[in-house]
Amino acid sequence: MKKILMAATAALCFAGGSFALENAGGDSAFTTALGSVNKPIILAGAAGLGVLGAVVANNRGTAKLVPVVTPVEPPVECGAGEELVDGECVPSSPTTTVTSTVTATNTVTSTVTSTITTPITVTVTATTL
Amino acid sequence: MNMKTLTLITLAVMLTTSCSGTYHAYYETLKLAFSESTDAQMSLVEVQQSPVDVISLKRGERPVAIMALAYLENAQHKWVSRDNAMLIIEKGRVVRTLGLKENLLYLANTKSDPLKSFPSVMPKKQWQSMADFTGDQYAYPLESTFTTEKSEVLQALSLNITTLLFVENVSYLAPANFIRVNNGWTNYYWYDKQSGELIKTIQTLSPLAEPLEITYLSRISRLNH
Repeated sequence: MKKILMAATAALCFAGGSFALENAGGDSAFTTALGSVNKPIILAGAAGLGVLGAVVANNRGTAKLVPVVTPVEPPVECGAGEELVDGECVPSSPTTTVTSTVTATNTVTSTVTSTITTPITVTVTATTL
Repeated sequence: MNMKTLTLITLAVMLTTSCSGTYHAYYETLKLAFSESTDAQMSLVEVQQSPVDVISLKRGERPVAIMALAYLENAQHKWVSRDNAMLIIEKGRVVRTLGLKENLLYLANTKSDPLKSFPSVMPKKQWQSMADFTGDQYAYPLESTFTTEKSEVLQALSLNITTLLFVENVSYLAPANFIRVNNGWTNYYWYDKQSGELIKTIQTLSPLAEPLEITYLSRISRLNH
């Protein structure tokens, strides 16, 4: 009985003592903490194999060359009242209709040259009365 | 090949490597992969001056992180990390985790956990529980067997602490639909021999989980050694 009482007393001492001294920080405890519990582990072997694979892949150089396509600019469409000049739309010139009467006197001088080629054939038709 | 030629070749290779964009990327990748991650550390004075209780946590192969005690409620210690993870510990046992990739959602039968009577009362030899995990994994039966290992001197915060080590062998009794390599694991609990306080523990929550190595820095700083 004595032993049980002593053991129980000792247990109570331990239990009470440890709780009484401890200090909890509440929400501010986060600022006291240091380091990361969830820090990812980088496996050195895996990284080494990855680099080795990259070296081999790069040295083989079997990558396809993708042709460079120059983008084609869409045709410029001008609006109403505009016209395309050197690739730019500029306002077109206004159309003006002018009606006029012009009187003029013309003197025409012409020279006619005829060439007669011999023999000359004359055709006579006789008519009997 | 004399030393001069060798030096010239090395220099040429180094210069060529640094000039090439691709090779520089390879070099940076390998440098990152092989660089050692730095552990978060606190000195004894820093721990003593901290207004909030702190523990150090090493999760698997990850670098050590310092977690701070946010809440102490319902006999549970709720420790938070800088990246918003939380460990809920009840009398030394992790009973709930939040913010990890795989979380322990619930642990049954914690009322009769033998850890609650450690180290003053000789623990019960066996304990049975059930655990729920994220990913719709519910009611996985666990069976623990405790043994008192030995006295051990532990080094932490530049102090040598005489401890009593308890070992818990946990069996994972759930049948598996696939080939499972680990059906059990071992948890360790180090209690300060003088005060009886838990100062260090290594616990695994499930067969595929990474072990959590927790050192109670503030408790250690308060020990009278």
